[in-house]
Formats: sequence, C-alpha cells, structure tokens
Amino acid sequence: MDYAYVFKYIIIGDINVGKSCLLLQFTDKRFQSAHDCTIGVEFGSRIVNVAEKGVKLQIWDTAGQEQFRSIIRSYYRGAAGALLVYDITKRTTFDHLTMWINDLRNYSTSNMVIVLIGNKCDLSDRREVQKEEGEAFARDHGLIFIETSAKTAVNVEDAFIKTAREICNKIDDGVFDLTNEMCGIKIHHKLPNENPNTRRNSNPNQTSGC
Amino acid sequence: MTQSHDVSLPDMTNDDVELLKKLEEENRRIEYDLKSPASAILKPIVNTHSPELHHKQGRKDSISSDLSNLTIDSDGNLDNEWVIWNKLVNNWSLYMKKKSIWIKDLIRSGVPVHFRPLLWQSLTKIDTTNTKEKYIELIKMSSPCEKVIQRDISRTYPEHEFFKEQHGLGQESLFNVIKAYSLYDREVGYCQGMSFVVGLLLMHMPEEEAFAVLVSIMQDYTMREMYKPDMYHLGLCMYQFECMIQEFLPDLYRHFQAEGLHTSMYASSWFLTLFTKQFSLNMVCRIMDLFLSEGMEMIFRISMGLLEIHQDELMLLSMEDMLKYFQKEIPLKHETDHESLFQRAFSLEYNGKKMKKLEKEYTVIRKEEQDEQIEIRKLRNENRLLKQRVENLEKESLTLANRLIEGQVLNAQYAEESYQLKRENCTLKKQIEEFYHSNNNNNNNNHDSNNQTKNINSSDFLVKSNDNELEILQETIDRLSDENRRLQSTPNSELASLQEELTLVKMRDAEAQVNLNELRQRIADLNREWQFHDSICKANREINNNPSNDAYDLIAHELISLKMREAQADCDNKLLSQKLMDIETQKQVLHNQIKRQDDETQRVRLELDQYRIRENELRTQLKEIKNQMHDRELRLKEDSMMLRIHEAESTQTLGDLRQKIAELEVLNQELITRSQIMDDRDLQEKLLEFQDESNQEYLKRSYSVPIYCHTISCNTK
Repeated sequence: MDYAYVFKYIIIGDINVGKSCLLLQFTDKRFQSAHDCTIGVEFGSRIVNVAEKGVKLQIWDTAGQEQFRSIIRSYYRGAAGALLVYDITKRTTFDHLTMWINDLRNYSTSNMVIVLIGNKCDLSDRREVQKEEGEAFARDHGLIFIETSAKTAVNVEDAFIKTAREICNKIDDGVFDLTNEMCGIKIHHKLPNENPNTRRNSNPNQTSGC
Repeated sequence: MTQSHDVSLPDMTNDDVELLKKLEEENRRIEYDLKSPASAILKPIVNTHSPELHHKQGRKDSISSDLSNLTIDSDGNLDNEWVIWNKLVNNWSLYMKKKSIWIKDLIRSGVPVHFRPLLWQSLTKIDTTNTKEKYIELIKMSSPCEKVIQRDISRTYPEHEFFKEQHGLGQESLFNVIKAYSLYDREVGYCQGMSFVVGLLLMHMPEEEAFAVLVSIMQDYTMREMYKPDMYHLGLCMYQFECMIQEFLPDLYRHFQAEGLHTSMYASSWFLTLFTKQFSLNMVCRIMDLFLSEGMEMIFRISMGLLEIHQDELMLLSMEDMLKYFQKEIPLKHETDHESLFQRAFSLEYNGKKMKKLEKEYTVIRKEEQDEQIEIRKLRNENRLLKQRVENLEKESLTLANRLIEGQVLNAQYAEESYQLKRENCTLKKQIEEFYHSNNNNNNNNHDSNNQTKNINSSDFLVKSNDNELEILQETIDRLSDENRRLQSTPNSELASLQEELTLVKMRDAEAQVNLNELRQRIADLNREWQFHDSICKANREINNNPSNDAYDLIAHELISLKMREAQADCDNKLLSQKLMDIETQKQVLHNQIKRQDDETQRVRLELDQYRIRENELRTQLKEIKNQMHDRELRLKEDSMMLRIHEAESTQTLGDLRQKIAELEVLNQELITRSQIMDDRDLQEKLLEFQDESNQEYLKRSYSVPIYCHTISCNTK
C-alpha cells in the first residue's frame, strides 16, 4: 500500500497499563496476556487510511518504569503524536498523568497531538477511574480522550486513527514545519518511476537526537 | 550429539567423574525437555584450544604437571575434560592465582553444563554463609517495590517451563530473590530488566546462591550502575558502543545515521539484560559464562560481533526493517549457530584505554546537557513570568480605557455647561441692547439739555465697552467649545493629556465665572449710573417744570430701573444655581466614597468573621492537644509508678536469689565433702562413659552435614 506521510508516535504511561498490548493489537490484531516486559523502547508500524491519504504510523512503545524516563525522553522530541495511557482499574496510573503531561510539554515539540487513553475498559466491574474524570482531565489539558480495551480491541483502531486525523488537520492548517525532521512528520517520496518530479530527501545526514 | 558422548566413555578410575557424568547426562535430558539443547555447546570445546594449553604448560609451577596429565588429546576425549573441570572447580583459588589466563581460555572454549552453577559461584567469589544469612533476613521483610516486582514476574520468561506456572515455585523464588535485592540495595531497588538475569541464575542454583551471585554481579560487575535511577551508566555504554561502531564499522555507522537509527533503540536491552532477553537459553548461558569471566568488555565484544556479522544485511534495510531484523531475525539466525558469533567477538580489538577516554568525554557531554536543561528550565520560568506581566499590563490598559471613557463623559458635561453659559450671555446681551434702545428713545425725548446729552454719551460709551467685553467672552466660549470638540474627536489620545486639558477647561470655566461676576458688577455699576442719571433727569424735570412729560418720564425711568434690578436678580439667581450644582456633584462624589467604604467594611467584617471561626477552631484544637498532653502525662506517671513497683519487686527477687545462692553454696560444700568420701574409681568409670557418649553424638552430627549438602545440590538439578 502506498502512503503520503510517515507519522511518528510514542506510547507512554505508567508500568503495566497495557502500552505494549495496545501496540500489538493495533499492528498485529492480536492480544497476548503473557509477554516479556518492555526494556527501553520497542517498535511497531502500520499503514492506515486517513482523510483519503495513506499514512504510515511508526510507533515507539516505551518502558513505563521511572528509571527509563531519562532514556525515553529523547524519543519525545521527534514524535508528532503521543498516546498517553492509563489503566481504568488502577487509580494511581491516573494520578500520575499530570507528571507525564509535564514531561511531554517539557521535552516534546509544541504541536504534538496527545490522545489520552483509558485502557482495560473491558474490566468495567473493577473500574476505579470514571469515564467523566478522564474526559474532564482531557478537556482541561486540551487532549483527545478515548477509552479502549487492548484485549477486546474496542476503540484501539480509533485511538490511533483519531490522532492521525488530528495531525492531518494540523498539517492542512499549516501548523507544522514539515522541513524540520523534529516535528515527527515525513513526506514520503514515491519511487522515481512512479512520480519523476519528487525530490530525494534533501538532507540524508539526519542528526542523531542524543 | 548426546550419543557420541556416551560411546566414548572408557572405564574410569575416578568415582567422582563417573558420578558427574551421570549427572551430566541427566542434565542433558532435562535441558532437552526444555527445548534448549545445551549439549550443542559442548561439542566444539576442546579441540580448538588444545595447542594453546600445551603451550602454557611450559611454566614451572606446582600445577603444571597436573595440567600436562589433564590435557585433552586431539581426538576430543571428553573424560579428560571432566577431570580438568573437576580439578579446576575443586582447587579454584589455587588455579585462579596461577593460571588465570588459562582459565579464561578454558571458559572461552566452553563450559560443561553441570559445572556451570559452581563456576558462576566461583567466578563471582561469593561468600555464601554471610549472604545466605542476610538473604533469610531480607525475605522476611517487605519491600516498597513489591507491587512493581509482582507485575513483572509473570512477564519474565513467560514461555519457560520453570516460570510458566502462575504462583508456581519458579515465580515465587524469582519474586523472593528480586525482592531481597531491592531491600539489600535500596538506591537501585528494582529495575525492569533485572528479572531476566535473576531468572537465568535461578535456572542454575537455589535462591540463596542466586541472590549471592546477583549481589556480586551488581556490585563487582558494575551492573548496579546500569540500573540506578538516572541510568547514567547505560547512557555511557551506548555512547561508547556508538563510538566503537563509528571506528570499526564506519559504513554501517553512516547507514544508521542516515536512517535515524539510534544506538539505544536496539542496544539498550542488550546491555541492561546482558542478552538474556534476546537469545535462546543455551546461548544466554554461554554469554553469562563469558560475562562473569571477562566482564562488561565481553558484552561490548558480542554486540560488536553481532553488528559485524550482520552488517551486509543491515546495510540494505530501512530503519523499520532494521529494528524488525534486530528483534526477530538475529535471534533466529543464531539459534543453531552460536560459535561463529563468539569467535568473531573474541577476535575483535578492544581498547580499554580508549574506553576510559570515552567515559571522560561522556561525562563532559552529559554535564553540558544537564546545564542546557537547567538553562531551558530557567528560560521557561522567565517566559512564564513575562507572560504574567503581559497579562497584568493588559488588565491595566483595560482600566485606563475605562477611565478615558469616564473622562469623555465629564468633558461632555462641561461642554453642556459652557453652552448654558453662552446662552445666558446671549440673554444678557439682549437685555443690554434693549436697555440701549430705551435709552436712545429717552434721548430723542429729552434733547433740550446739553448735560443730559453728555450723560447719555457717557452711558453710551459704557454700553459699548460692555459690548466689547461680551464679545471677548463670546470668543473664549467659542474657543472652549472648539477645544471640546477637538477633545471629543480624539478620544484615543492619552489620558494624561486629557486630564491636562480637563484642568484647562476647568480653569476656563473658572475664568468664565469670574467674567460672569465681573459682568454682574458691571450691571450693578450700570444700575448705579442709571440711578445717578435718573436723579439728574429728575432735577432737570423740576427745572423744566413740564408736567405732561413728567409722568411719562417717571414711569419710563422706573421701568428701566425695575428692569435693571430684575437683571441683577437674574444674575444672582444664576450664580446660586451654579453653586447648587457644585454642591450636588460634591455630594455625588461623597456618596460614591461612602459606598466604597461600606464595601470595604463589609469585606473586613467578613474576614473578621472568618478569622474568628479559625480562632475558635484553633482554640478547640489547642484544648484537644492540652487534653492529650494531660492524658499522656497521666500515663507517664502511671508507667513510672509501674516501673518503680517493678524495680522494688526485682530487688526483692534479687535478695531471694542471693539467699538461694548462699543455700546452694552450702549444699555444694556438703556435696564436695560427700564426693571425697565416695570411691574414686567408680567416678572415673562414669566419666569415661560420658565421654564416649559425647564422641558418638559428635560423629553423628558431622556425618549429617555433608548428607544435607548433597541433598541440596541434587535439588538444584
């Protein structure tokens, strides 16, 4: 499938809220209850159709433990979208959201689209955080809000695509400086025989983020 | 592979070796069940390195003769290998002192599976007795990290038989060891990634030993630096590794750069988990052998080896595909073939001095980065403050605009007042004109007297001057109204200038008032003049004695004087109304002030109420605290009383005991004398019997200890 843009995403949130499961459900359409814990960062990608355009999502899944914060911060900078995940059955994961938001605001580009995800909504009988609370938090901080279940795949697709749509809107509004690699958006250059007018990536020596 | 092993067994003289072999076989069977064919490691072991071993025998030391006997012959006789390892493990410290390089090479060429637990424990030089006690103490305590650890337990080797079962033995011991470590080293606590290393250790030894080895790995092999909260050491390793890639694989380095692939994206878990998460178990075990023998250098070597072997494939891939390659392809490719990777890793150049230099460089870079972060934070704060200031200024400008509008309203009021003044002026002018006309009439009627005409002339002159003044007033009024218009047309000019103009207007107003007063004065003067003229006219009339004209003149004169008075009264009236207006505005202002003050008092009253409530609360709190204090004092007194009672009791019991001791001493004395009387031989026999008994007891105990040890080592397998 052909695509016009590449968007970089980052998934963050407390330990064991289901970040890796969300990614796996989105990329492979399957759920795995027993899997290795994420050390540092892991990667996944998929091409989706947004606003009649093909968009490739490159998604970085990060480790949730405090210690890894300093490492994953370097991934914030080059991301256009962030999925901030909490677990609706664990109040503490919701309480830490402010800290995550501050971290994002401090280390990311200002135009990043953030979607707040209340995961594990299939376990509504063990719910500790009400949907309204999540909605209110999202409203106060200008985030998109959605409740998902990586297990039953409810809203998982939507969460990723809503974010992509919002980024597309922002591109149309001219908010992003697409020549800057750090905004997390790349225009995909098609193969020369398909479209002879496209230029090759003008700057092959991308600077490393460290 | 196991078959070839069994066939080559000759008759062994050494019983230990026989036993070990059986154990080895058993091990192999178990590992085969776990789908991790550890036997694969054993095959290429000794052949490759045997010439080197021969070479090293040349040294003249006490164990060299042993070694020459143990050296393995070229047809790969594995029995000799058993003997070597057996001797090595049993005389570890001696061999380590004399033949450390030989041991290193031996480990590089491979470690038999069943020697592994002992080797790891020997390599880490653990002091079992001490750490075991500590371990038993620690697992009784509860750790703040327990919840996090519990979450990761089921995510560590989830497909491995030993750790598969929820709350099974494997998961439980994994939890115990990690928890104990989190208590042992509170700065590190628990860090994700650790669990894989612990899991690997637990596959080879019981909890206590695994804990001891873990402690050594953390402290002596600098792994705790890796897991510390800021992960500084991991960053350093990434930096060093990146520099190594740049030096040894420049093409690949450029490719990584072009694709935007950072070292930490693929290599951080290699260093954090010592590859325990990446490869199959037998490979991971081998890496652990090498790591424990040669330290972090070996992880660098293996990482570099991996990149070198896969360089050609990686060069063709995009960032995404490279990451997938690292995740999936590389572990698969080394599933069957490990030795090529290790041989590549051994042959690599590794410059310790360079690494030290890079470390220094990194600390500088890191420091700069931190400084930058601090700078950014500072700038952000400043930015916030500036934004606040902008907001405040906006608020201020809003209030200023409000005041401007108020000023404009005031201006309009003044304009109205000036208009009124103008109108008054007009009426005055008209009155004066009327007066002038009537005067003229008078003139026509009374032209017989020169004096009279003279007088009329003088009054005429006065009226003219009055006219002039009126004109001047008119002009000022015009000017004022012009200015007013100008002020109204420029509402956006600054308030200060507006206020200035306001004061100007006020001044003009005052001037106008003064003029008005003057005008009034003039009217009064005119009146006086007129009266004077009137009296002259009367006198004239008396002289002329013209009765027909007389009555008419008299009436006309009186009319004019009446009019004059009316004008004066009018003037006074105007003045009074002006004053009234002034007073009213003052009243308004005062009223506003009172209102504001009322609000203020209301607020203050409210605050007062709040404070009162707070005071009451505090008072009740104070009371409570006092009560508590009182209670505590009472309790303290009680306690001290109890203590005193106890003390008295104990002194009493002490006295009793002393008495008893005295009694017993007396008894003792008695017994001594009695025993002296008893037969000496009888006593000696009994003594011997006792000694025998105690000897037997001692022997029994000393046998039971090794048996216990043996059972433990069997359990571990």
